[in-house]
This record gives sequence, C-alpha cells and structure tokens, in this order.
Amino acid sequence: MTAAHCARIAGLALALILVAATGSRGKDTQGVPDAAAADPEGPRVVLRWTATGEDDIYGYLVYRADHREGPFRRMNREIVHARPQGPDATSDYSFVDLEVEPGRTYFYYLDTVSLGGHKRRLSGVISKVVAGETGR
Amino acid sequence: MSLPLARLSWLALLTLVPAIAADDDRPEKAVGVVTGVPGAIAFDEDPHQRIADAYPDAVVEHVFTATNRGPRPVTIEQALAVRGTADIVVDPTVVAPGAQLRIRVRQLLSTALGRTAFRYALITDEPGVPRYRFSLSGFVQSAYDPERPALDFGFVDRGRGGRASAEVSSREVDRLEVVSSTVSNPTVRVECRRSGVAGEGLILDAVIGPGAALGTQSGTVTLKTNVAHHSTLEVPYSAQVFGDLVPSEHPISLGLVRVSEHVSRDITLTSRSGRTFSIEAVEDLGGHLTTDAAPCAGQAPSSCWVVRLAAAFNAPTMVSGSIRVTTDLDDELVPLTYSGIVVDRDTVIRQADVDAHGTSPEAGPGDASPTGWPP
Repeated sequence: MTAAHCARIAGLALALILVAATGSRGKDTQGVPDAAAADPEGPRVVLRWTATGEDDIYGYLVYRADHREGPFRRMNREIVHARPQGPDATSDYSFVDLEVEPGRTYFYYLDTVSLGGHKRRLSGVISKVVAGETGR
Repeated sequence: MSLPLARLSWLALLTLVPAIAADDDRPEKAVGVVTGVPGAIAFDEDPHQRIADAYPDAVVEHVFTATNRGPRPVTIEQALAVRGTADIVVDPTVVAPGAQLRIRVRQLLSTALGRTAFRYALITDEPGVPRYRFSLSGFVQSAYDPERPALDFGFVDRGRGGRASAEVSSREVDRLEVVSSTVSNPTVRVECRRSGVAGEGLILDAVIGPGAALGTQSGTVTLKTNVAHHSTLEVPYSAQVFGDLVPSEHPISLGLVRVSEHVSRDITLTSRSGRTFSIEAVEDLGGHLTTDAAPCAGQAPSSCWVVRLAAAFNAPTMVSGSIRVTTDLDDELVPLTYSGIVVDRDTVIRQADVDAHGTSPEAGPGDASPTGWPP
C-alpha cells in the first residue's frame, strides 16, 4: 500500500512515497534508528523520497502527527543529510518510522533545511494506515 | 630538588639548547614568512574534522591527536583559535620523539544558523615550520519555527505605546513552554498565549509602554523554554518611536554608495495632528552628511517639512549615524538614524543587505506618508 506526493520548490523536485510495512525491512536505512535492525518484524512506516536540484539543501526533516491538521512532531533526531549529485541528478532517501502501532493512521510531511539553517516546507501532508489490528 | 641539582639542570639545558640549534638545519622562524619546511608533528586523523549537527549556544568538544614523528622533542608554544575564542588544551606541551600529543578543543557555538567552521593553529618551537592548522566544521540548526522569530513594533506613537506579536513553536516538543523571560528594556513587556491546533505553540504579545524614548528602540527578549537542547531563544524587537512628528522612512537607508558618488535622501516629516511647525535645526551627529530642511508647501510654518540629507564619500566604509531635528514644537526633538555602505567605484555587488528592515539597496526615498501606524 503506498501513497505518493510530488512537489517542486525553488528548483528542488520531490517525489515522496509512503510505504506501510509489517514484517519487512527497508532497503535504504538512511535515517533509520538502530532499533530497525533489532526488530525486523515490527510494524513500520517507510517514507521514501527522491530529490533533484539540492544545491542549497543541507538535509531533510520528517514530521508526523496523529491528525492531518497536527500538531506535528519531528521524527528524525538526526537530520537526513542531502547528498546532492549534481544539478540534474536525483538522490533517493528514506526514513523508517518504527514508532507506529498497527491499525493506526499517521500523517507525515517533510521540510528541507537549507545550508543557511532555514527550514522550508517541502511536501504536503500524506497519510498512512499501518496494517494490522489496532492494539487499543 | 636541591639547589646544586637545579643549577646542574639549568647548565645541562643551556648546553643542550645550542647543541640542538646547531644540529638543526631548518631556517629560523620569521614573522610573516610562510615556508614549506615540514614539521615533525603529524595528526593521527584528518586535522579538519566535522562535528555532529548541533543547536545554537551548544558547547562541542573534540580531541585531536597527533604524533611527533621527528627525532627531536617539540615544544608546543601556543594553541589558538584563529578567529573567535575556544578553550584549547594541549597535553603534553613538550612532545618527545614518537610520543602522542592530545589537543582538546571545547568550542562554544554561536547563535548563527547553518554551516559553521572554526579554525585553529598550533605553534611550535620548530625552526622555520609554519603553524599547524586544524579545524572543526559543522551545522547549527534551530529547534524553533520560525527559526528566528522577531517582534517588529513598526512605528510607535510615543504617547500611546505599541504592540507587536510573533508566533513561535517547536516541533521538537509536544507543547512549547516558556520557563522564564527577560527583556533588555524595562518599557517592553512580553506575555504569551497559546496557539496551534492543540495549543502546542505560543504567540508572544509584546507591549512597549507610553513614554518610550524617541527614535529606534531595539533589544532582545530572551526566553528560556522547555526545549532541552535549545532552551534559550532570543527574540529581537525593534520599535521606531515618534511623537506627533513622524518621518516618511525610518531607519534611513543610504543604500550602497560608490566612492565620490553623490547620494541624497529626502525624508518627509509630517505632523500627524496637522499642527504647523518650523524646523529650527538639523544636526548630523554622525558627521557624514550635509543637511537641509524646507517646508513641503514652500512656506513656513507648515505641517509637513522635507529634510534633505546629502553626502559624497571618498573612501569605502560602513556609514551610520543619527540626526537630530529640532523644531519649535514643545518636546519635539525628532531623532533619526541612518546607515549605508560605501564601496569602491569598480566593486561588483552581487548581494547585499544594507539594513535590518528589508529595505533593498536599490530602494529610493520613502513614501511621503508613513505606514504601519497603529489604528
């Protein structure tokens, strides 16, 4: 099950895909907490995004909320660092959210952080229902 | 150590030092001379290290290690921050051949956001060997949204005071709380109220009371918050306080001025109450400008006057100063401030921010009527 969002801001193009996975491991583990490897069978939401035109981008921040309107909390303690490959090249990123419960819906969006330290909204809000029955 | 033994040690040292110097074919150090003479100290790792992403005002620590790969002891004469300050401790200060040197750097990060770099130098007693250079670089992020909230009062009527608000939140805590706040100006006070869909953010409501000093009043509201890793948030504020007479533009930006270029600004001074007045004197306390004043309608007294500021500069410099306009109205000294950048005739400007209020360098004289007055 996937949901996708595309955006273009000031030359930075983004394609964001959310994948809800239970019992499967993501291939790209950039930004993944260590617990991902220790709990490969647990529920998770994987955010994947592809970006181009990252010349002024230092990295990405991932936010999550229980409701579409928020409030949102930053999920990646460490900035997902941009890896610009050139003006036309694309770079792939992912973030795995392990702090999810089956049956619940989560809402995500991304910010960029510029080389000057300024945050800027990159994506719209995108939601994901985690497979499985809710535990509460 | 007994005295005879101490004497003996000094004698040994005195005889040893000339022996080393005579044996060392490296040139003597000379101030300002950069040589390619290799030194004996070799860093065990890359001397230019990255630190983890951090928040403003954090103290980061890094220990560099290096080894004396030469045949002689090396004395560390000085370890210093090339720019700014840092706490740098070297151990030992005399590094024996084959021994390791530890350089512990404790660096206070500034409040500046984004990429940051700190350069250091190690100076040894090795003849002719230039400074050893090492550095730390990293990235400073803000835990707040916006990263730098600001309180802009705009034009403030001295008799009524003014208000300014700024919203701030942090998506790194569930609910932003202000633990304490301090304001650098006693006439400014700040209160907080909740904002956001679940009250997670704050709106800072600032009030500058009646009777504030005329002219630009600026300072900082320092908030201590519950964001553990970025607990101090400095919120700058600025107010342009005037009485009945208000200028068309303030602060006054002279913009980018080239050497020998003639620059002038016309500032309109208007009585908000419609009273007629006369300007008795215009003084440039900065000493850079020539000044003149004339009634808008050509006849004094008038409720509107044009103050003309003009200058030509003969050398590149940063220009700033204040102007005092004296009128015949009671208690109506009008303080104005100005700033500008003087550059060479052939300097190419790619980007410049001349003032803190968003006035572009190309902006001309302000409108005749002030904007931003409270209703």
